[in-house]
Amino acid sequence: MRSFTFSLIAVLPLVAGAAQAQPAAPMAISSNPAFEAFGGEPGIASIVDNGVNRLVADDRIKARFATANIPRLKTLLTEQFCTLLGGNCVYEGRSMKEAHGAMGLRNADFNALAEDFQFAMDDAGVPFRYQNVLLKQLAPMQHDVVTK
Amino acid sequence: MLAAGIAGPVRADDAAASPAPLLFDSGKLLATSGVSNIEGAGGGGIATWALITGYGTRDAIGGNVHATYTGLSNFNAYSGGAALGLYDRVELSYNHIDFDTGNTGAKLGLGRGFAFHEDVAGLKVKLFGDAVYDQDSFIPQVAIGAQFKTTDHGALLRAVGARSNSGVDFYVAATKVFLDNNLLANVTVRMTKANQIGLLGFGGPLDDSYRPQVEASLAYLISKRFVVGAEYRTMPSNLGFTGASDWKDIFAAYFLTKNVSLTAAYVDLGTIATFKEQRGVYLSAQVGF
Repeated sequence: MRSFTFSLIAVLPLVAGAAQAQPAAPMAISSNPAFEAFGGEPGIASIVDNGVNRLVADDRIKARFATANIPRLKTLLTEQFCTLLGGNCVYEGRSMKEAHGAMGLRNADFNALAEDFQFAMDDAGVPFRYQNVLLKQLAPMQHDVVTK
Repeated sequence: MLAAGIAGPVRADDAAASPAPLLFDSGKLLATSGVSNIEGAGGGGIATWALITGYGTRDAIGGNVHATYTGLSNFNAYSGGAALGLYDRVELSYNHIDFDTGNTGAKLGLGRGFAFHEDVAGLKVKLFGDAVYDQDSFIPQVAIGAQFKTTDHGALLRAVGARSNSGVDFYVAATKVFLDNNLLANVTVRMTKANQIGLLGFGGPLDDSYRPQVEASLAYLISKRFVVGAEYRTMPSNLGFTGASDWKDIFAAYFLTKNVSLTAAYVDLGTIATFKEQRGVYLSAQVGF
């Protein structure tokens, strides 16, 4: 009962913004509402799975992923998003500059990815304002990722 | 982040594989083109913002056309125009405004249905900053611009005190999106002599010099396609026969897609040509890419 009350309190502000289904409630009560809104690490993994599936089907940028190791990409993005959202994860991938510097990416590529992940977050019912907690972290990576 | 996990082998040779950019890429994020404001520039309803209109990224060209209706207590305005965004750097705009005095024209001695027509040609250049990407700093996107304005009925405008029926506004605009607060803020300082944005000419017996006027906008991002906000714009009071009030509005803009947006606002423009409390509705539709 006690934990039910607490999780209700944690979820209330999310419901106020948008009447969307919440991802599966995490077991632990965290003081990080954005991380909670993503459904913790399992929720992030599910969103990344959907987002990457959208990327590799997106005519605008799918060619960029032709030779990518997709399962590894999903693992690393999950680690990265989890870290950016304040979760207790470790990102073991290369720096953004190392990973993208030679790819010749443009702003349109960067934004296409952001759009695909916005749809994935929408699918998972992550309220817009918590989506923006992640996007705020990702947006400045444009400086390192986009080289064209 | 794009390929945080692209493992090992693909590296330097990818640069050669980088495809040529599309000329019309519609590559900017939804809503980041802004809407077409009352003078035809990219912005909100009554304020001009630092965002470059259209959805072209810095590798591409965007553009749009718009139609706007403003219905006030004693006047109506119909405006329409077109704008181009070049490489997310330069904005070119043209806007035509019919300011219809309707029945009020007779009361002003102009004749029923008398209308002023104003043309506005705009040039905006982004100087630095990116309103969206630069979330790691407080530096806003900053642009400067000029608007070349001409209104017909010059003899009449001069007869009521305006010094000219044409003029040039110069402005500097700063726009910033605060993603974690879901807010967009804009402040613009405009050097202008325009009476009611030029619809009543430029300068007057009280003042015929450039004075700084301020446009401020604060918008809340409800979703990636729905924005609500409020704006305030100061107006010079150069004419002797009538005062002028600061303009205010509250607006809602809905971006159906990158091709279509609809804006509705409640505007309070105060006193116009001696008629007080000019309030009403502002409706605008934009189609572009």
